[in-house]
Amino acid sequence: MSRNLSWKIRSGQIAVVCAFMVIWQFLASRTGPMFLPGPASALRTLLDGLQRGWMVSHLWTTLLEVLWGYAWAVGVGLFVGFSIGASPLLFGAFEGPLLNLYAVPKVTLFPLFLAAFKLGIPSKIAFGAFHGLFPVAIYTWTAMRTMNPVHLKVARSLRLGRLETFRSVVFPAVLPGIVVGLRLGFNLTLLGVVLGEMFASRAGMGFLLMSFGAAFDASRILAVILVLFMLALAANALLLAFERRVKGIPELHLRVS
Amino acid sequence: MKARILVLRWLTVLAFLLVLEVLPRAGLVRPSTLEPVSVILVRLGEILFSGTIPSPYFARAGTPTLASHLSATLGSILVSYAGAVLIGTPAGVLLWRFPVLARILNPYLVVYYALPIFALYPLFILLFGIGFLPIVLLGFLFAVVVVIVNTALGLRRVDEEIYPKVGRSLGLRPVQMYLSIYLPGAAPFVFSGWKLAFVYSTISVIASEFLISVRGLGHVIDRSYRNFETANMYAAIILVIGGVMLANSVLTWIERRLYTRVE
Repeated sequence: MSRNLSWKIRSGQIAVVCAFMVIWQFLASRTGPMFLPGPASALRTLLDGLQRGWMVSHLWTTLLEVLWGYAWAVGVGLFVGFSIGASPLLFGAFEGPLLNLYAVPKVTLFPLFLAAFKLGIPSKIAFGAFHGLFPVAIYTWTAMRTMNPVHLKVARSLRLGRLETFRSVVFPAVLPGIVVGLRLGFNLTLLGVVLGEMFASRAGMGFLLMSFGAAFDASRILAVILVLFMLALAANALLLAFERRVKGIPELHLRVS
Repeated sequence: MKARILVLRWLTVLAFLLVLEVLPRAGLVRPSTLEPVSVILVRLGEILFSGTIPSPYFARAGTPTLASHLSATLGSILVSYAGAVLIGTPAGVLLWRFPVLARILNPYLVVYYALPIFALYPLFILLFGIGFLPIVLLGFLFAVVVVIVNTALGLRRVDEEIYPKVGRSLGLRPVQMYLSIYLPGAAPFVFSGWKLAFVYSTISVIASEFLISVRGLGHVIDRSYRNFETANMYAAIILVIGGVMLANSVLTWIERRLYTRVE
């Protein structure tokens, strides 16, 4: 790519952010700060929330739920993904039903999680994990099934044991596929946790959203949204960097499904 | 193998249903938490047959009929989905026609689905009030980007094949290039985007109704949960999940046929 073009793209990307800010400010000035505060005001409220602390404990709760939920999502997702990827029988029996289950509005099942787990943090962890494990599992079994069979043949002719085959053949071959699943899994875990908090909870960022919504406090709602979005972007920057390292390619390809 | 697969699949489903039937019947789970599957299915049958939800709450709220909720949900899904397809597809074509634009927007499109977009819902309610508009807007926002990306990707994939070269060497006019090369070539990928958009707008609409609304199937689940009308709640959950699975199966079937036609 020529220097000129790369410069054009960079400035274009900055222009997108600027345009977004200008539109936001314009809409804010049209509707009035009661309904939609501008970017500066939202940022001030955000800093206020961190300084005076009305946001801090809720942010910790959400972070805790997301981290535990994600740990479960990764653990269970990898287990399910490897099991289904390794067995044609399991794949045949459960691939279709699981893909179908992935597409249903999982939020409707949240009352079940409230019934099975406690109202507080555990139900959010379980619900977040339930959201996040699907992409992890799906990308894992897809990576295993699209593995080059020659690699396995080589492993067999080298007389590698099961563990050794997994460690030095299967794992490196499927890793690039799995890391995509890990990123999408994080995104869905966060979504699940926030949804759970919004529906029924007494703590967390989702709880704040709903209570500020009921109090018509637009500027605090926006501050919470900003923090959640920044959290998501920061986590994705990390996971995308990991993805690029594993794949060894500088350019990302578009894939969101 | 085929037979074993089917046996395993249906045995698992059956075992799952059996556990759900036995747990409340054996008194291991309170009926306020889980009703036996048979009771739920009978209730679902009653609701479908009579067309009304047997609940004093919905009678008082003036929305006792299933149709009033079904129409709200389907209407919201349809409008947000149509918006996503009608705006997202041309936007995807633009992105493909102008590669610089695509490269500028690429990082934003990659992280778009990272954002927990439902966080915007309380803000939308503040701006537009409880009702149709915030739900449709959120459904549109949730569904449109997957259409844009899949359309652009599908068209770009056609460019990597030999067909556009063939078309050019045959001297096809631009319109003919679109109609007989790009449209059929990109169709399966574009359709995948449309299918996902349907899934996403459905998820978004149901979730919004579930959080704050006055009508819709998500609202029925939410209210039944809060009023301890467990059988109604599970009947509505089964209705939603069954409906989405059915629609998804049909769309997946069409999608598979499109892909096999191309390959």
